[in-house]
Amino acid sequence: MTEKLYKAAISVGVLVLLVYLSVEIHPLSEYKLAKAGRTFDAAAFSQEYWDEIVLPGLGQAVPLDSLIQWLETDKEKTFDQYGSALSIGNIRYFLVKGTGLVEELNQDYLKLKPDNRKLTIAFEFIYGNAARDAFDVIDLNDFDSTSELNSVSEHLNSIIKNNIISSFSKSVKLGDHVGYIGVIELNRQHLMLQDLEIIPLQLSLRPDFQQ
Amino acid sequence: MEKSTSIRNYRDILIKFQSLLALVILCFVLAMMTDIFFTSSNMLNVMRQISVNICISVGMTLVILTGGIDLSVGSILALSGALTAGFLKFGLELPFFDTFIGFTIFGAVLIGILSGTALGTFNGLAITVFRVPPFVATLAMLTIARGFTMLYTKGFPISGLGQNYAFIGTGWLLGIPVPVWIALTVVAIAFFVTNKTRLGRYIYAIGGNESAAQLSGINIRKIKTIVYAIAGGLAALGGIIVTSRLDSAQPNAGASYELDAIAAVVIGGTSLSGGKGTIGGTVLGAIIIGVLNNGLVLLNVSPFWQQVIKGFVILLAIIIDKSNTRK
Repeated sequence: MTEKLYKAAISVGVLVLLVYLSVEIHPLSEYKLAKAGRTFDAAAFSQEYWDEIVLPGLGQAVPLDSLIQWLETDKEKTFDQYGSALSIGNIRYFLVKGTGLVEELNQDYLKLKPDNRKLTIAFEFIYGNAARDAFDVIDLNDFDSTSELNSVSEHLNSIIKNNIISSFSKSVKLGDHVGYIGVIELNRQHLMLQDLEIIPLQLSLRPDFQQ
Repeated sequence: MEKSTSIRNYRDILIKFQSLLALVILCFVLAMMTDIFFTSSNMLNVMRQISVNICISVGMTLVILTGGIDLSVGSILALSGALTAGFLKFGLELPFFDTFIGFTIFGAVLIGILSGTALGTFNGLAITVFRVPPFVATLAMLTIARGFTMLYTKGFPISGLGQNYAFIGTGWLLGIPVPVWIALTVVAIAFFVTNKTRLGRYIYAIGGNESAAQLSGINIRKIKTIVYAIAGGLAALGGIIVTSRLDSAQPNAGASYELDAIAAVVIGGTSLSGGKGTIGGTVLGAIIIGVLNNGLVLLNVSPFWQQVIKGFVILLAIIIDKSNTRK
C-alpha cells in the first residue's frame, strides 16, 4: 500500500514537472488583444522596408569585381562576411554595385558587358527573396506564417518593377553605359560566377562615360 | 568432409557479415570514383542525413521482428513534425476557458512524440484488436495522418521556429551533429531493449512463432501494440529532427521515408517474416542506404536513376534474405 502511494506521488510529481517545463498559460483575451495589435500589413511593411532599409542600405554595396576576386581567393570568408540569407542552406545574397555597357536589350533583361564579364540585369522576372534577404534585417520569428514573409518579397519585387525598372527600361538603349546597385544570389556549395543575374535596386544611365 | 565443413563455415561467416561486406565494397568503390566521398565533411554530412532514417528504421525493425510492417511512419513523421512546429509557433487557444497555452520547445517536442506514439498505438490496436492486417492498417494510417497534416497546416509550411529549436537538427555537440547523437541514443536504447529485456525476448518470440509465443503466455496484443507505439514515437522523433533541420514543417515531409526504413531493415539482414534480425544490422542497412544516396549524388547520377538503383538494391537484399532463409 505504501509502495503504491510512493509510486503515485512520484508519478504525479513527474507529471507536474513535465507540465511546468512544457507550457506557459495566459488569458486568451489578453493574448488575442496583443495579437490584434500585430495584424500584418504586408504592403505597408514592404514600403517602409524599402524606404528605411533598402534605400539607405544601398551604400553598403560592394563592387562586383572585388567581390568576385574575394570569392576566388577565400570563398568561405567572403560568404560569411558579405553574404546574407534568412534561411539555412547554401544560398546567400550579396549586395553589389558596378557599371557596364548595354550589350543586349529586350523586355525580359538587359545584358551588360563590363571590362571582363557579362552580366544580366533582370527586367521582367523579378521573383524570389533577393531584395528582402540581402540586408540581414528581417527575423523569421517576427512573422506568424510563411505566407506573411513571402508577401514581403512579393511587394518588394513589385516596388522594384514599378519604381526602378519601369522608367529605366524606357530610357535605356544599346550601347549605353549603365550603373547599377543590386543583389546577386550565389550558392556556397556550387559557386557559379560566370552567369550572374542581378536583381536591380538602383539603375542609372552614365551619359558622361567615355569609351 | 572437413573441406565441406570449412566451406560451410566460410559461407556462414559471409552470410553473417554480408551487410558489412556490402558497405565496405560500396565505400571502396565510391572512394575510387570520387575524391570528395572520404572527406570528413562529407562523412559528417552522411551521418547527419542518415540519423532520421536510423530513428525510423529502429522502430521499423521492432515491427518487422514481430512479423508486421509499418507503412505509416512517413506520414506520422509529417504530422508529428507539423504538430510540434504548430504548437511551438502558435500555441493552443481554449476559448471556452479563456485560456491561451504557449508551449516551450520541450513541451512542443513532447506533444510531437506523444502524438506519434498515439498514432502508433492506434495502428497497434487496429492490428491486434480488430485483426486488420498490418499492411492494410498502416496503409490506412498513411493516408489518415497525411490528411490530418494537410488539414492542420492548410497545405502551407510552418516556418520560423527559432534558433533554439534549430539546434536539434543543425547543432553540434563535441564535434558531432546533434541528430547523430539522437540516433546513437535511440540505437543504444533499442540495442538494450532487444538484447537485455523481457520485451525484447517477447518481440523475437512473437516473430519467430506467434502461436507458440501465445501458448507460452506472452500477451501478443500488448507487445504488438507497444511495438507499433514505439515505431510511431520514433517516427515522430524523426519528424522533429526534420522540422528543426529545415526550420520548417512541410506538409509533404517524410513522403516515402517508410521505403527507406524498410530497405534499411531488410538490407541489415532482418527477415521480413519476423523473428530474425538485429538493431546493429539495421544501422548498417541505414548507413548503406545513406552512403548509396550520397554516392549517387556525388557521381551526378540522375535522381530518376537513383530511384531505379535503390529499388534494385532492395530487391537484391530481399532475394539474398530469402535464399539464406531457404538454406
